[in-house]
Amino acid sequence: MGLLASGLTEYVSDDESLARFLNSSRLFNASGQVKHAALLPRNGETSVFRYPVDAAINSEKELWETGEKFCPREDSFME
Amino acid sequence: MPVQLTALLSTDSAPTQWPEGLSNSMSESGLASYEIKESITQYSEESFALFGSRNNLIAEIYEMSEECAKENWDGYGAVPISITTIWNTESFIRLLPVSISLPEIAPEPDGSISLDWIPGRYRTFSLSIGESNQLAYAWLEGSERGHGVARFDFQVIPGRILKE
Repeated sequence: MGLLASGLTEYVSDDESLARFLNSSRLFNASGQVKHAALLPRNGETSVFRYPVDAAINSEKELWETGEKFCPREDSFME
Repeated sequence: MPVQLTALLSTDSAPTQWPEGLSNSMSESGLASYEIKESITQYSEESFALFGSRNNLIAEIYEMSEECAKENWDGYGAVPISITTIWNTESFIRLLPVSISLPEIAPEPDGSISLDWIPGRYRTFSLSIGESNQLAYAWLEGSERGHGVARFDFQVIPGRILKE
């Protein structure tokens, strides 16, 4: 299995989870569910954060910090 | 919620509850006149509700487009929604038959607008409108699913989409 430039493996393994930070409330419906448009790829690609399921980093606080660092916007939503 | 407009002017049935001041001793022509007036009032109210909600949806599209008017509005390099895409979407919504419920809308990363009908977890229809006259759509119904592209001439909703 190859490695990406980030050092992560090319494929997402079973012990990883994914997060995507959403900057628009329009990507949620009235009941708070994420609309599919939030995860649609553009030119065949979409960007997500990968994090280990059972590691200490798997805390909501740290995820938010990561999102605010890389996708800064005041009204971000995390899914 | 779909509204049946076709039967609103029917005078075939008598009202079951009489308004104050009226009784069933009304003449036949008076009764017909009363029913027509009632029907017109109801028609007007329902028309207002119907086109009001359609106009609300169109206003929502303009609001959403304003929020997504800048490059990278999603933080992942999304394309802004153009005025052509807004006009195309507005044209499509204005042409929707009244029997079809209004969709949810969402911005897409390529600058298109997504129109979604989601009556249930396993029943959805989604349509993508961009700057061109090509409408990409996908549907799911139970274990069946499909997708396609239809040409939109801005005069009528493509039959293939209405069929799905």
